[in-house]
Amino acid sequence: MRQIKRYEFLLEAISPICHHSETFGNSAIAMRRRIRQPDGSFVSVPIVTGDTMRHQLREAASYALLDAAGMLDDPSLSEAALRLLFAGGMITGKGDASAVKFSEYREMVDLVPPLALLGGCAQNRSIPGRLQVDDAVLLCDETRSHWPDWLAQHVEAQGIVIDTCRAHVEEVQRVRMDPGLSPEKRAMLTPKAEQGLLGRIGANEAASESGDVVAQRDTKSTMMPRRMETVVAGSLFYWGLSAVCVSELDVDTLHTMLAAFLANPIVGGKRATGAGRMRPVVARDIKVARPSAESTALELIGPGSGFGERFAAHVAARSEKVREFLGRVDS
Amino acid sequence: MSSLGASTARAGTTCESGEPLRVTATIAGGISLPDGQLALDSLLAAAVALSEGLDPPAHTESPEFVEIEIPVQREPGGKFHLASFSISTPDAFETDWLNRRFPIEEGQALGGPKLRRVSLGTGPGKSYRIPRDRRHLEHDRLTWFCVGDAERIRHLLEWCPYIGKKRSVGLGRVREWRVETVESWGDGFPIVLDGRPLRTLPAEWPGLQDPVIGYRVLSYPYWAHTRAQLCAVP
Repeated sequence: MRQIKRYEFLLEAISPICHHSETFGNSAIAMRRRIRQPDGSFVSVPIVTGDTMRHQLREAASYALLDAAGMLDDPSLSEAALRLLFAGGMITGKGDASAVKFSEYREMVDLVPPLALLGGCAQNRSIPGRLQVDDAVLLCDETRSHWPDWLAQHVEAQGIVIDTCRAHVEEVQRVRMDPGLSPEKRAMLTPKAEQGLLGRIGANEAASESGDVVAQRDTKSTMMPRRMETVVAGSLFYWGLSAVCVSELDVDTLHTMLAAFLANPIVGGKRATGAGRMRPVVARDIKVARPSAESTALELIGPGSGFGERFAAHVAARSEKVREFLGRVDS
Repeated sequence: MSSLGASTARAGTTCESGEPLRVTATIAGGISLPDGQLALDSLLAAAVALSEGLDPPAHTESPEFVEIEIPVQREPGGKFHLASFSISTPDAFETDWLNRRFPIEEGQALGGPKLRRVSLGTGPGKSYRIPRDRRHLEHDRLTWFCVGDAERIRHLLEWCPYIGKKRSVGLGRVREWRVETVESWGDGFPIVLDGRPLRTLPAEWPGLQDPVIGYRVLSYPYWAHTRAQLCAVP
């Protein structure tokens, strides 16, 4: 069995997406990518990067592996194992990289099946992956010419109103308060600490009145306002991925990581305050490596779909070896 | 046919008598091409490896190294295939960033008792942020010329849904592959056009006019730099 499986999804942001490319001062800028327009010009459109989506799949697959091996309730991972499972590993320079030992490679992907699809660095060599994950691109006027046919039909059939990319972005402000400015919190300080705090506040007021900017900076409060661009809740994103699957286990591993990720997809920053939550709306499965393949709509991948049973049984049967491998891996 | 190292294993099939072809890839969005070009012969060799389930490549001196044949005709001396490198014009560039950081949250939750301290400023746990280029091509298109078997090339290209570097994160996604029979432009087809090399060629190759000379690898695998020699550079 050798085939390229391609899945395409329509995802909906159910809370604002705070996925930023960089910050200028206290302002964070939303991650964007240039998209060519039908007239040849370019427009920058908000995206969630393929790197982010792929990392989420890696995390989901790693948790599924540790769960199946019975290692989630027994924290025992080494630094190298953590790096391998959750960040793809690292060429450490230890050992002999001049010879590629295929027997070791086969053992490794047998014990940690997601490595075969996601790749990584282990035992001082890089392992090529077989999974390509696209950026999740905002559905907006500017990306309309890049939609696949099924997506255009879905948008039309559902009567989804499409707006410009600018309409999906809003700038919000958050402030980290200085607890020292609140009298009721100040009351909990020791007398010495309160005296010091009041002295600083007084010095800051004096510096403001005299226009001494240096003293003003040195005595300023720890209140920190910052602004950020977010993609508003309800925005829709088009996302796709392709994987070369060479066994039924590969297919089930792919389904396991997709199901685990799509059960509760969260991307970008500000997760602690609820940002970045998404949900799959429509899924599409297309086999592209066989001329006879037809595009067929799949039911949404999610919990209870029956996916992952082969993967879980495979890992559970090797749980001791997985534990031993993760204990000695160099990554 | 030239041989590499100690290898005796073979994969793929040859093409003794092909037809002049133009291969076109239409890209959906950006592509990463650090060298500016992609070699069609190495792309087809990778497709053979993928479709036949070969293990990831070893170095060329390894006895396990498998020599791969592709359905493209070789030049009469057999040193390389009659296939050009990609022809494209960049339209726009942008910079992406590759970020990496140690999984601290997972370390706190899943780390064993021996995991007490992780250095984030140096060593294997070091965080980094590396720039990488994403380019957009004129008409989103890459073109190659070759002499080969259209049907078999078309079949192999189905195994290449993404091309270039950083395919794993969605760069270089191919929207459409086209393999068409074309009229040969005569002498030099498909590797020399108007005296310019369209792929790395031996420096003394007939038909070249004042070519740029540099150390390059003449045929795939192009990462085997120990085989670099003085070549005419496209």
